[in-house]
Amino acid sequence: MATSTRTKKKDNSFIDQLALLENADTERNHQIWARPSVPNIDPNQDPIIFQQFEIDDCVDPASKEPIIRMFGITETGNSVLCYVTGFRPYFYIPAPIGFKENNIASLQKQIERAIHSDNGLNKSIERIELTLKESIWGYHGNKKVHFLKIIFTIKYNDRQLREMTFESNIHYVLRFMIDCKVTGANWIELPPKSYSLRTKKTSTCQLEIDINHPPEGEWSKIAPLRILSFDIECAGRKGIFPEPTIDPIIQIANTVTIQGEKSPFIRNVFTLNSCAPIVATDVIECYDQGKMLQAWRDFVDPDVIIGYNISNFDFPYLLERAHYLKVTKFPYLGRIRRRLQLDMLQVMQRDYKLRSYTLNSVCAHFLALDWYYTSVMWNGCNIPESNSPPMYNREQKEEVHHSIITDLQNGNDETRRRLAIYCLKDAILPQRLMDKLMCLINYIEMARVTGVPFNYLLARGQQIKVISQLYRKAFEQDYVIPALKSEGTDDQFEGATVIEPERGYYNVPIATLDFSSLYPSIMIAHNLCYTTLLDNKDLEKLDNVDYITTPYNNAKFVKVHHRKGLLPTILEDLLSARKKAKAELKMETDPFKKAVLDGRQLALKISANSVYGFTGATAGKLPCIEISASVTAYGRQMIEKTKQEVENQYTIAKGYQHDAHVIYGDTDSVMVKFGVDNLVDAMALGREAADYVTKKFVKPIKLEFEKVYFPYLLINKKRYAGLYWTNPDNWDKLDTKGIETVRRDNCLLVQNVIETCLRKMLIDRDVSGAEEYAKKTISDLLQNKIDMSQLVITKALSKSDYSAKQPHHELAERMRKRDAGSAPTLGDRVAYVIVKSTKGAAAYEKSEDPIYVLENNIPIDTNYYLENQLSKPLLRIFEPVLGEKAQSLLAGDHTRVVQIATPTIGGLMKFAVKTATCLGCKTPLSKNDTAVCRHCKPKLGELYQRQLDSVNKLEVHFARLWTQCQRCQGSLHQDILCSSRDCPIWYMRKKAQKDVQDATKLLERFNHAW
Amino acid sequence: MESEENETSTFPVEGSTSDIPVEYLLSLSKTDNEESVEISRAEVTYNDMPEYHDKLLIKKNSYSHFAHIYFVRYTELSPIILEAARKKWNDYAKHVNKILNVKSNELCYLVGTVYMEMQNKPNILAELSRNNWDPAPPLKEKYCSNTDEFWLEDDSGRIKIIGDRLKEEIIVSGIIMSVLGKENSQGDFEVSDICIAGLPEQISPMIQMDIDGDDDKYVALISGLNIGANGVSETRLQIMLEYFTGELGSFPEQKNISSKIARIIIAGNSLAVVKPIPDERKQKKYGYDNSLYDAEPLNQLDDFLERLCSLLPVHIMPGKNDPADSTLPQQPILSNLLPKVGRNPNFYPVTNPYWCEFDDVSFLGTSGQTIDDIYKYIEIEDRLIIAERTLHWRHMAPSAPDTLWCFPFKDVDPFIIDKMPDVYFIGNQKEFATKLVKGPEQQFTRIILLPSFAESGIVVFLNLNNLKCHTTYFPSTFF
Repeated sequence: MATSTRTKKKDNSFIDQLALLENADTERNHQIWARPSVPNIDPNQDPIIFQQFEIDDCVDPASKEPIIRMFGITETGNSVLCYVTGFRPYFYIPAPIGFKENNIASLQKQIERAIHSDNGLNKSIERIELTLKESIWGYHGNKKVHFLKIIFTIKYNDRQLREMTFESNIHYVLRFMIDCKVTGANWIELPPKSYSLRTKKTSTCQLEIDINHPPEGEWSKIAPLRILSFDIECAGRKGIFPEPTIDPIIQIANTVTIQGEKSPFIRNVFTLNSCAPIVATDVIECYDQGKMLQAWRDFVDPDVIIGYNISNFDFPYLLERAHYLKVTKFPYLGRIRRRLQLDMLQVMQRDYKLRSYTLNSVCAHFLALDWYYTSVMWNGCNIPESNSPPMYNREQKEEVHHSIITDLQNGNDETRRRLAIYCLKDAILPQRLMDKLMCLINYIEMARVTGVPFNYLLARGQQIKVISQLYRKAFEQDYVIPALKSEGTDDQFEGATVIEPERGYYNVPIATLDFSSLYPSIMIAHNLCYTTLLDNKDLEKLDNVDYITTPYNNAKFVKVHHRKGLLPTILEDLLSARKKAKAELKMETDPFKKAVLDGRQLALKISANSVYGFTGATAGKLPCIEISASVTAYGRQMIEKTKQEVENQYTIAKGYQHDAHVIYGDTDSVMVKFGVDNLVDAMALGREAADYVTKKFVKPIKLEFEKVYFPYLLINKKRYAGLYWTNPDNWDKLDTKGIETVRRDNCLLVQNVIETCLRKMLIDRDVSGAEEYAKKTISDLLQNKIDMSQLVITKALSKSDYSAKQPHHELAERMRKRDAGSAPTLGDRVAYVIVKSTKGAAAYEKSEDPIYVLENNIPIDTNYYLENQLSKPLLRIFEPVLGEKAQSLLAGDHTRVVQIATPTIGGLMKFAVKTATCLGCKTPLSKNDTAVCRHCKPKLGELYQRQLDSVNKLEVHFARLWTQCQRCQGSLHQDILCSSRDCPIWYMRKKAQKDVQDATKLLERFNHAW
Repeated sequence: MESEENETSTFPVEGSTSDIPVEYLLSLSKTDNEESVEISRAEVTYNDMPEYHDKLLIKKNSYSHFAHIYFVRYTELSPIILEAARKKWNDYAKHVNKILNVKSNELCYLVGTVYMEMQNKPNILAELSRNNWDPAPPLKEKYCSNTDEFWLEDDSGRIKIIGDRLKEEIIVSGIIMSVLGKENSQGDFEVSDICIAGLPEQISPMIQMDIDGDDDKYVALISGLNIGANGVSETRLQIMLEYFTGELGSFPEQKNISSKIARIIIAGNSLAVVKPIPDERKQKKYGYDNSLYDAEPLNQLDDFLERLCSLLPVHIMPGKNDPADSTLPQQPILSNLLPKVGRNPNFYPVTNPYWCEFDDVSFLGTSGQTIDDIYKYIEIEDRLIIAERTLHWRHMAPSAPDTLWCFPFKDVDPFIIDKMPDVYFIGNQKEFATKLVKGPEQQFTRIILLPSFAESGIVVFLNLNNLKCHTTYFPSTFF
């Protein structure tokens, strides 16, 4: 390993070498990776306080006892690994009637015997306790009964247990956290004398501690975490996805940032073979693959590791490659893997709905405001200070296609440098993304609120969060939770109600009344919970006033004065946390922090709503149809009631100017046409109506007035668009529901047409303009004037054995036959357009590579785009406006002129004789004419100028596109390599090049025409 | 307008405008035949300077990367700039030959291509990825703002250059320059001094500039006829034409000037931008609409040039609005488009930019796009200064290809000014201005900014013998 500090190598003695090294070290002082040294700690006097970020468990090899491991950081930045021993797994069973203390010993023996046949251990049950608990399921008049708590020394297998057990199906780690009141990412205090320091360490942590005592404490700050963001590059073979047993790792780029700080304090890249220097970056040149991996291993000691697609690519690849190269110390990384890991790809896929999830397009989307970062970074990875000026510019990241990575690696210093910069970008971007979206902070917050370990948030679903909260509350109140064997049933219950929409284009204000957190509110209002559910046989003991009967199947629940349900308590906590976030949101002025707070309140809302989902999940851990079905039944009632109340109250008869009318209602909102024509009145009435209706419902159910849509385009159930107003002066946004323009199997054209039409209808209020625009676009499409980048459809090539034939899959197959080198491989996104083919050919036969289409002038199947892509969405938005007439959009004058490209390849073209046609009227030309026919000759000047005009437009287009790519790649002197297919100008750039050349050729024909 | 102190002004006055009073014109339009004296038109030799001409003519066969033109520019200009920098700084600083080899905190100088990151530059990516429901941001008159960043680049990489010294200098994307300074800990290069190429040597041997003789010869420079524009006077064109034929003007006037005009150069925008008037009802044509084509302006130009070319040779350069390429260098207007004048031997359709020699006086001219684009990069309003700078940079269009669209040349950069022309004119500028730029080795160039004729009525006359120039104003009405 050689560091590329710019010290010249000389023939010198060892002393000189040392001096050089020292020199080198001071020169790159700021790039040194060292944690603060560990202070002297006296276990008898000093407590150790740290923030834990990851908890897992392992088994003591000797005793087979499970051990909890907590990884964390102290306030001063020292890494800690804390082993907690002595926490025993356990579960409950209801004690048989008449079971006494003195029966315990024999029971224990019997169970031991049953288990021993399995694992050959002598003693696996520590003890059995007789406790007083109450099952969470149903209301039993607040009476506790005897439960046996069976405490093990080893982890038991809950699958071997029969039903009738309680709390046996909860994970050991979560059990520990619940019992010790440890929540996700909280602070842990180890009091003096409670712990011992390990001297023989088994990890890279600075402190290893043993403790046999439940830790305690909770603060809300965040320790100075070191976040490593990294990316690897592999030198693959053409057309084959890299395989760790064959293709080497050639570069690893890293940045290390301390949580909360603006820029990384370490930026480096490990390169295989030499590499030219990069500004403000350590280039660590290695000349052996194994040594490079080892060097990287030695370098890495972060608390959090992030990257893009690291869970499914980088990490497995590194490990397998190291295994293959027999880098013996490398698997040690396996432990590092258990550090907090945040794969930004997973985060994105989980939390955001996007057209594409490539790092490129995600960054273009989210770092849009940050042109500064993205553009400047390209220029040699120089990270600027913050306070970057906002800009509408959405920078794309230069993307180097993997087929040329190997070429760059096999080049020289400079080409490897270029590759290294690319690699560095990929390492820096996840960090930027994380900072920007505040993922870490939000996840920590979520881990604390719901009490689950950090990694559950990414790896597990919503249910575990509800379970964690339910167990915690149950633990406090001596409830035990039955371990139900989940059995999915198909029992469906009636869902949310929808008031039949009165479709149309409303050019009057439509006020929207929303129930805030409808389902959680219903559960709180009616005290719906497992613990309050009444069995019919228990009814006799209670008065009518003690319980309620829900609209679902006469399910009954006791009222709050008998017992407050656990679920309502959990929900109240979540809602108050959400309220707090919303209040902060109102105070915040910074648009981005606003977005983050909005994200937080949304997460809390989702968590609250998932409680309802949990009770309704028939395949879940604890489904209770009585609760979930009652909730929706109440919801339906309330929507109907709201409609009635509003329509009865706001009438001319009661002194209002118009009769109000509910035009649509769904789940938790109703759309009211009050009949007034201005926003001020509509808003006043909306506010009044919300308060009026709220009074008719049980607390905390609340109807809120939030917004007015004006104008409003109601297409169908769950499909509408409108201009969104919260104040009468300026509209907030154009809001759409169910008009899925971002679906990936749509081409961009659909998105653009729909969005533009909606803009014209709703913002410009120009319906006929929208109609005209739609017609114009269809006309352009049929005349081949639409840019092909608008027509490209992309899909990821996932499994290689599709049973049903798919266009992108068929295309990939065909491309492989053409040229295995450039064909898309598994995991690649395949871009295609639909081209003309024989009549009745299926879509999958008509998919073609856009570049191939460009090069060979293959005609696009414009009818496919019209009928399969454009028509449905267009009709959808125009039908409410035009009614039957909407069909006229798809036929008529504007569809009469059709132009089809002449392909240069394929079947018949081999036999066709090419004849030049007149540039004026398309008549085939005789040999003597070069540009136009006899009849068009008088118009020559005009035709020439027309052609010139199009050449000029194309030339400017070409110049603008290709210079833009130069800007993006941050270099004027290098050819453009970028192959980011997500970039909106990628196909355009290629097409512009071809178009301008073709058009120029045509223009040249005029030179001899006179 | 620029005037110079060191030149004595006989008639015509340097930079002055001779107004032709209307009544005078009218009285003289009936010329007496009694005293008819044969006045012969002055003639000059013409050299189309193939060494430049050939580079400016494009054989459009391949459109490829723009990197090549930057590369050629850098290879040709960097040795010159390095030499200049060496002279200036070699005593106390080292040259670092690759930008990436700069060491932190060590005084050195670098040579590279400048790139300016400006958020106001038109950005096609931003336009395309703009949300469909936000209005398009307005185009700015100038690109420059206080968030601009400067970068210096060579084929090894680029480095951000910072410092107040940059603000004192006129800097534009695409120029090659040298900077003296140090890299700071952030990896930025702090500039303490700048060096550019400086004026090149003269093409032709020195002209005796103080001679005012009888054998003066003039070249008339016109730009922006704007034929076909709404509200542009045809009368003005008519009066000008009559001036050239000698039908206007007194005998001394004819003798002194009109007959001595040997050549006319029309520097771009002979036609106006034709914007078809949008007609709501007619919009429903889906396909090519030939009613939008109006051949009239071109016919008018043809007629006008036909009459002009019957008198003397006319060199016509295409401009932004003319029927020629929109990217630089603009190729000559196809003579077939002007059927009447097209085959006239006096008709010279030429490129923009254009190099030529008349009687060994060398001319370089553009139709104005080059300076217009540079103008957007800097706060300075004075275009004369900008034009002068281009000579010092030895490059007439540094902002091509980044914001000034040009053909992607492979082996040449036709915009390099490797020799000083005697005359350097820029068409279609806001107002007339001129300056004689002199270099340390007595090299010089007469810079002339030509205003649009249609708007200003001004034609510039340059005396080939002494490089002095004057303007004549043509009124837009006879009255």
